[in-house]
Amino acid sequence: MLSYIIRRLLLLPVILMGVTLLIFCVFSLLSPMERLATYVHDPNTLKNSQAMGRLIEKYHLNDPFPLGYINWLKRIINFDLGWSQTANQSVKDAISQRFPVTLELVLYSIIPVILVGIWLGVLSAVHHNDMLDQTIRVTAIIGWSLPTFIFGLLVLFIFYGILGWFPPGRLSSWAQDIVYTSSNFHSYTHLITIDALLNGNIPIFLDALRHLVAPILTLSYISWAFLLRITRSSMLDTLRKDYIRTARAKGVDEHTVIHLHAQRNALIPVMTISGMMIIEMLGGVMITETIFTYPGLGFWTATAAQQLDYGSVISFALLFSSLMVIGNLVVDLSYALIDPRVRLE
Amino acid sequence: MKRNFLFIVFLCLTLMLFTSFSFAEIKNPDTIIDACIGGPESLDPHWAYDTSSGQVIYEMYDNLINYKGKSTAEFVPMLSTEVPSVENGLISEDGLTYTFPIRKEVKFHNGDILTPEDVVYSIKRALIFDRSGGPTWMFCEPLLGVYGIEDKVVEVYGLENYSDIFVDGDPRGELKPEKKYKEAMIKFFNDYIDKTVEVDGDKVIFHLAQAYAPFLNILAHSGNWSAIINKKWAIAQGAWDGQADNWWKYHDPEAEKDPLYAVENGTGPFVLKKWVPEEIIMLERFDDYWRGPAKIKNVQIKYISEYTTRKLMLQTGDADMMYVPLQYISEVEKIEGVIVEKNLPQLANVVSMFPWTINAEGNSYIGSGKLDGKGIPPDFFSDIHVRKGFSYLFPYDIFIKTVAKGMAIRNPGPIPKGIMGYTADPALFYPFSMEKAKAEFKLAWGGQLWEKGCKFTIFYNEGNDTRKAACDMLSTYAKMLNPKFNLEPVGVQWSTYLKAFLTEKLPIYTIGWQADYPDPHNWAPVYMGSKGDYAGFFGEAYREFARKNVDPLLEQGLKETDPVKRAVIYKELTQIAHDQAISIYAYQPGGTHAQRLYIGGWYYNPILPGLPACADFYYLTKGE
Repeated sequence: MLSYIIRRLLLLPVILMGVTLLIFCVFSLLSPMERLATYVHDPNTLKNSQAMGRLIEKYHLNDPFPLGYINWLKRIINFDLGWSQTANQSVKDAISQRFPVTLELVLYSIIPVILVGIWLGVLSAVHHNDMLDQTIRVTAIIGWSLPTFIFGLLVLFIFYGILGWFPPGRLSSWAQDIVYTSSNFHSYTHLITIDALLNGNIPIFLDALRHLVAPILTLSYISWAFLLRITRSSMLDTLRKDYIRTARAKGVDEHTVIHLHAQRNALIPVMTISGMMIIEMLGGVMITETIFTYPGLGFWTATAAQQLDYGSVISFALLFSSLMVIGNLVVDLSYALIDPRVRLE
Repeated sequence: MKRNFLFIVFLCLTLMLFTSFSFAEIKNPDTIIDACIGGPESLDPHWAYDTSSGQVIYEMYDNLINYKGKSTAEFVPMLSTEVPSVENGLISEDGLTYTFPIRKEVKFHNGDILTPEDVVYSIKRALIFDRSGGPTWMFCEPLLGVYGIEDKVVEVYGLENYSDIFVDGDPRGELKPEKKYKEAMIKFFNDYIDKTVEVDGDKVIFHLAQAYAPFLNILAHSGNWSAIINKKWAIAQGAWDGQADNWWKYHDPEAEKDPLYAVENGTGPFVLKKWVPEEIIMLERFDDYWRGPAKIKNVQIKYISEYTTRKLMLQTGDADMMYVPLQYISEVEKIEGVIVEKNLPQLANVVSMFPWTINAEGNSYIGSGKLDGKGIPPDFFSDIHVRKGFSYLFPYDIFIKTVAKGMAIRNPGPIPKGIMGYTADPALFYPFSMEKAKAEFKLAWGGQLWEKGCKFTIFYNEGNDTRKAACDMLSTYAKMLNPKFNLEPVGVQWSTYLKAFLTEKLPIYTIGWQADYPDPHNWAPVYMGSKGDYAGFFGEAYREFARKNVDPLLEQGLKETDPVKRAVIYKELTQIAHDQAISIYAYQPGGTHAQRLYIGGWYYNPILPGLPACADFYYLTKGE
């Protein structure tokens, strides 16, 4: 297994180089004047044509592609990811500020996604073609087909606008004041719920949780539908297996047949997919972040791509590619651990 | 069953816990929360040239003078104890010397006391900092007679480029090793920068390179570039040390190398508590503020891009004021407990421009490049009848009523209402008239245009629905007038638009301008001057015309100190804009301001920085 892990990890720098080269290539196809748009949002800031030339020179927008890439590599080696025009801070700071926001949102969302998705998937499979199965499947299709921004706005409108229960943002103003400015509050992980517990501040913990409910509800509903379908399909397949028939024939009670024999085997593909879902969600839950004012990676990278902030885009690609490779590896390893029939080659 | 019952009870208790956060009538009573879009680029007054940064810097820093209340024409002293004028002798008769007696006992946020040295340092730093695309050109023009310090170096030493004196042509690198280059740069500082402003006892004296009528506007509060910073503190942060022998190392830095980018130490009513870029700015009242502390203890400006979220926050009281896009005004007006001020006169306008010469090289926007019905020639708009035809063709009032929801007015020329030199002379407004447009087009190009037709692309910046509507209207009416007139509205990404603009390839294009300061010199040159930010890209034919007919008037208007005479000069420029149909002066938008009723002390001054109709937090109260 160790050699398998090493071989997979050795692929990481190759993949990262490939991804960054590709992105650099694409941006290089744009002329220096087009790339100038990242720095110039209004032509009146260019008082004369010399100003345009100076900006192009200042930001090396006319460097040939190989030179630009090599200079960028040199900076990366020194852990200098450059400046983000869209975040108005260094790319490193932008990622360290935004990644924990998205991570917190995703980690809390994935729990109901997995629990609800699996629960309903099993239920649906066990009651195959029943009214219950049909209801669950229809609900799943609605969740699958409903655009995130519509559902998110609906959640915001009902649970915040009308009921006033779950406000947008990460924290209330009073809590923000403490977290951001108080010397008594220490950010260890930048996951506010965890930090609040570590600081022993339960009101902030509860406030942060309260702000998480609506975006979690939005993300979960959209996502559990997919997991439900996979679980249902896998479960149906497992329930048709000979050993299940044998277990029933031996008089094992139905609850044990379903939850001890069938479910555990049916969940193997489901767990691998769940792992990949986490990684994909980390790559961008832009719409949810925008609606609920969660200043995470998704919104920032979408804006950066739109505004040709290639430094930010490349750095995000680096991060996401690394997560994908490592995530895939973890999923493959867990697959091998769960299913003894699987050999890592 | 029992398990389900327990689960339901748990759910109810949890929900009760959340709802037990009951909402006081006024939430966060000691904090005013403004829900905005788009956060600041920088907190460095000499870097920032965007409204979001300007809004925040306005609260943290003071300037030498301020505008009087709602006025954009009258000043009051601020860090200076008097507003200079010719009458009080603080402006010389020739308009080249301005003297400011500096207020005593004014504290910076770190406790240091303001001195005239801080003022002098602030101005000199602004001049040498002069970042590309930044705001300090507004100092360079009056104090050095050029748009940028590099231009002055090039002019003084007869260089081809500023970068010529640096190793490898890198102006952010080292000077060439020969002693003469360093000596020249030190001499330049001593001969030019150092002489622009000086301390004289408790006064600061400015020496201008040219008489400059709007100089006080440039120094006034609302212009973050002229905010006064603490010299000792700035140097301690790593900013320029005030010396002549290294100033070029602090010129035009990259954002990440600017030591004042995320810190502040002003004399303003609020202190920076925390800035989380693109998320929130938190300000706290400065209790030792020289005018007396602000009424509100805290200000939070939250950056929320989604309109619905902002609206719901205003509705629930989690925000006290918010930015409202034009199309949503009627929704926000219906929110209980909210007041919306509409049609506030903004110092901004939107103009559709006709370049007299279009760069035809590889330019698909002009079709065939000939007057053959499949395109237009590069000098299409050099024909005055073409320009007049389109000027008559734009449905100004329909546009204002339907697209701008009635919250805009027309301008006859480049100068908007509220700025000296504006005229409401009805003779200078082109009416929307299909007959007159037809008459002009029939005269254009010796009648060939009407016969053969034309085809070209008209641009708007993608996502800007107002400008899209303007382009669509022009295209529709052109087609109605003559089916052979094909104007194709195209929405493009900003990068494409910018490139096409800079390479002078755009046929009719629509763009806007927001005031840096409320003086006609910030408008007329932009839209009409041969080196104007926009008109400078109209092609050589226009530039030649402008050099002869426009620039001399602009120069006169700039140097004339008598406001009555200035108004006459700018009216003459408006006449030229009309007679030559230089552009379609589409509209001057009205601003809006939405806030909760319990917010008091808000007043409107169009020159306040921030999104349309922003706030001066110093005067605001909450719930009083």
